[in-house]
Amino acid sequence: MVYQISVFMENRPGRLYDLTQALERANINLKAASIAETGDFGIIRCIVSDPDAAYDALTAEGFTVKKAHVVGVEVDDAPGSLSGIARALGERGINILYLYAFSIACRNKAILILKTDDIERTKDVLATALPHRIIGQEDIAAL
Amino acid sequence: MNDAQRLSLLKRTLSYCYDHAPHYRQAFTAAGFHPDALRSLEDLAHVPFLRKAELRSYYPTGILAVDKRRVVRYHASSGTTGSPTVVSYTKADIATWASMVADCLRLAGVGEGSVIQNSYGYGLFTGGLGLHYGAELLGASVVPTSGGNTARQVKILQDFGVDVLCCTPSYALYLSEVVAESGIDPKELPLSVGIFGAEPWSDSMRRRIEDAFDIKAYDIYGMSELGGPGVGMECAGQDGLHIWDDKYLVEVVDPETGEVLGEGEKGEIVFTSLWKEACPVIRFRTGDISHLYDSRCGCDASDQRIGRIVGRTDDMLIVRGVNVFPSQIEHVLSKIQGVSGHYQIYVERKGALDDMEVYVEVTGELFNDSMGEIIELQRAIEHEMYAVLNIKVRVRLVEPGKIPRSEGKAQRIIDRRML
Repeated sequence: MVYQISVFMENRPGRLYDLTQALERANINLKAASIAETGDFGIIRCIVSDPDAAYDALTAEGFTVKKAHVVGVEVDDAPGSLSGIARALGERGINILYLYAFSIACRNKAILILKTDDIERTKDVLATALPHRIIGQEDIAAL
Repeated sequence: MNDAQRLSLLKRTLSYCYDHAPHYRQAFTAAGFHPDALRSLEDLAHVPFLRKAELRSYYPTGILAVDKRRVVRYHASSGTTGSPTVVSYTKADIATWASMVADCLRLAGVGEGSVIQNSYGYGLFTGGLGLHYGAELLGASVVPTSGGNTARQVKILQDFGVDVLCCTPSYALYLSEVVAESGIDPKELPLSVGIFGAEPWSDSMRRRIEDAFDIKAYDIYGMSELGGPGVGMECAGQDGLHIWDDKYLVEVVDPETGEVLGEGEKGEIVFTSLWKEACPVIRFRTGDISHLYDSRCGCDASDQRIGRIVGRTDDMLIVRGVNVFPSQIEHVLSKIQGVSGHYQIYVERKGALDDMEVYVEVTGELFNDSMGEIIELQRAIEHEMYAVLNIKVRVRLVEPGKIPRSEGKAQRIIDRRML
């Protein structure tokens, strides 16, 4: 199981720096991040080395923070990997709300971070039907 | 009209109010005043003021001095919280009001043969119907376009030979821009006169409108509590608003002490109506800041003249002709989960139109990482604001603690309009 830290942020210059500074001071490493935005505000979502410490550090700085489960899955860094996942979930009526990914080039692997409308079933489908390796927070920390 | 004539009108009005409106009988009695004691116009200073909050408490009939069955029309303006302020009219009131508006239009040279495009809103707002009745009484042709649908407004301006435009000054400026964008020089339109009011504007804005359309732009004054538009009007000299002296007695008072100020001194404008049957107003505190002229204009209109409205005693904002009170916004936010009570209102002129944005602080309690839900929250607030204020407001959600807190009175309004 992987924890994601998401933060509600006003969309203005310098605000991301406030966040990264807070993480740096707490000695937290960002493994992956994505920003979704509308004109006025955005949500930054990130996978970090230590989610609990990140949550505390950001909350202490006055950020609006949410810590929640997402699915982390390891796939081959090769054409068609995501396609297979998208098909498997789609066929079972599971909706992907958002995803972001990063590759581990030295291992020819990529990690997908997925948020769906049914986290438990998603893990099931990915682990059994395909099958892929579902990663946990300890894998993230080891990266 | 001389002072003796006005004194007798005032006496008649005060006696009428004392005899027919329970509110006034009570208020006069509590202040130890009886209409028979009135000896001079100056004695009006002994009569208690009427405040907007008192009027509002008479929802939904208005502060009636006649049997409800004699009311032929209701109008209303937005209130500071829930209920609007209602004003009612008898048949005679409607006729007098129309004649006042007709007199205003006449000052601007409008008459039979004029084609008036009336872009004030028709409905509960007094602007649309008020101008309409006056114009018809004058024998002018009225095109009752009401507000909105700018493309159609522009088409009618072009096609109907409109020579008089009635609307808010900011909307006039906006129309000129839309006409220009369509490839037509606004100066080429047959328009020659603009009657603009319902929101504060300045001489520089007047010049911009006059230049854009090549017209003469007149300021018209009114307020629903006083009867609607047509209370006062500029003459061709464009120097101050003539207030019909057989219809109103105007005083200027110190907004703090209520003390009557002299001509030329700036203060809160207080109106006493001399004509209203259904909802007479005695010493009504308008909240508008201006002064009485001490000089005579020289035109035929009344000598009672006030300067342009330069401000408000309360925190009322006028946005696109609509009264907006911060308390209304507070009221909306108090009913919505996931936001704190902290907010700030930003008003700007974007192009010609007012643009109002409300910064609302989220509490974070409901934050659950879903973009959709935050946008939904934003839309829900905008929707509620529109339902209450009747103008479109943009809501910007900000992080907790980001709205500046102040020790004393919070600065809720940032008005960046350069009028």
